[in-house]
Amino acid sequence: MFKVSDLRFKYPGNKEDTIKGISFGFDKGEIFGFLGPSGMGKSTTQKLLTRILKNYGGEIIYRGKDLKSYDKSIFKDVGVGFEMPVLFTKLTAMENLKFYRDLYPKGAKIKPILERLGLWEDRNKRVAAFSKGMKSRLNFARALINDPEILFLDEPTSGLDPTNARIVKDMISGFRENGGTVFLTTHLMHDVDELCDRVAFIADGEIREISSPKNLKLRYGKREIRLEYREGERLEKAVFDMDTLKENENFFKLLRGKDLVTIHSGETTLDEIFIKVTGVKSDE
Amino acid sequence: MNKFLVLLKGDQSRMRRYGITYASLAASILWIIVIQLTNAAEIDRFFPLMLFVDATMMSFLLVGVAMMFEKQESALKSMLVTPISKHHYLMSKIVTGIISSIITLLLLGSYGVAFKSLSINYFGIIGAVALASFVYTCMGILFTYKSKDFTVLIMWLMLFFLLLAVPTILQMFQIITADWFKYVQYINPTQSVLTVMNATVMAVDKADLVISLGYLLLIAAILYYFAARNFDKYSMKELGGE
Repeated sequence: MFKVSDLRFKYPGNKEDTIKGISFGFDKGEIFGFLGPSGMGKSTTQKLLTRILKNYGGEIIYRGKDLKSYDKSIFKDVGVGFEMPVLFTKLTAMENLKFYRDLYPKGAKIKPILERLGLWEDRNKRVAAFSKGMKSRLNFARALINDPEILFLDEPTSGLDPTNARIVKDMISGFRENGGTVFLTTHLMHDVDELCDRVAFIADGEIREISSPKNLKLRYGKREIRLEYREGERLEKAVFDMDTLKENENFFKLLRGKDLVTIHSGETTLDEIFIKVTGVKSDE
Repeated sequence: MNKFLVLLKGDQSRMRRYGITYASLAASILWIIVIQLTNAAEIDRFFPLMLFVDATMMSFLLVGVAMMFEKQESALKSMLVTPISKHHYLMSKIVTGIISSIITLLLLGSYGVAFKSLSINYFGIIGAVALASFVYTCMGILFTYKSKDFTVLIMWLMLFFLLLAVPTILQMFQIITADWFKYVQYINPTQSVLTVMNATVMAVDKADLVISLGYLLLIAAILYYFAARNFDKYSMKELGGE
């Protein structure tokens, strides 16, 4: 759906390129996670893909055509969810959504979206009276209002409690199951692990890694098994190489003869991969 | 519904919610009180002056305030990812300003005609108010691009009032009478607005009218061109691009 080749971008007045020749692509029906520390080019890349920023170097191909050849009608199929609420606070939730829906040639039905997000009862309240979480959910509803084929989401679960974050994540998964494509930028590695088919890590304007979360965890993890078992009153630990495990008599002896407390594989987490790849903690 | 009409309806509705429409109506009521206090024999001469302040400075202020509210709410970001063009966006703001000025004209004009025997060229004054409002709304848009908050916007408005409106008013009341000043005033769009408006209630020099009208049309085109040209830069700034 999108193919990006040697993308470069410099903000007016900056000495250095913010985006330094990155290449990647993602297909229809895919949830593609775009991860990286703040200020390293994540949002800039999203703005370039959504035609908000122009004058870039390299090439962005969208549905087989150069992105530069599209006009603003491209937005009839594109939904964009910003990290911070971008709503008219003096208008009600319903007035906001109706206004935006009418700007598109096709629009989604408002009621099912608001019902699913738990905002239907509050539809006639002014947005100014909404809590942070309600605004965040309404922001997500705004991204869906044109019944898009592709969604660009920036921290869609930011500020949400676990119950509402679950609803939003289920809606994102449902969107993909119905053939939709998602470009997701977030700091929440748990969301990435749960939702994304593939992820790219960007740091200093360069892509450091692209793969599926599963492959990354295997590649960056250790092929080992760690056991904790009781030895009398003490807690002992043992580590075994996974590749020679089936021939390792000690491992089977421990399994048969000791009281096991825990068994873990050496698979790593996306948080650890984030730190390794970008050199920055994921909540920075 | 046509996208432009959706935008226009949205702008009108937000003007009401932000209280801008009511502020404009309150200003109209003040002008109606002034009309009531004006000697009936002088009403034709002073009516354009009342309208001219609304069509110029109020147009500048109304669009500025509306855009500042949008800026505060980051709503422009959301507009930029819709299929509307910058021309739709800008024209909606301009037409909203023109509608507001014409409502003021209708309120003041109706009162003047009904209670003060105001004699006026109706089509002429509507055209003059629309043109003046177009020019000053474009100015308001351009200076809102340059204003980081309400305070800076109000500073620009004060400066405009001092540089453009005050000399015109002083000249009208013959406080400034120097001949050379009349020529300087040809480059002041506020003077051109007053000349065009005066032509709808009294006889004015034909050459002055043609120059003023031509100048306003030219300046309207130039200001709109720059408002559209600088929109991308402004929107990039709003999106955190600079």
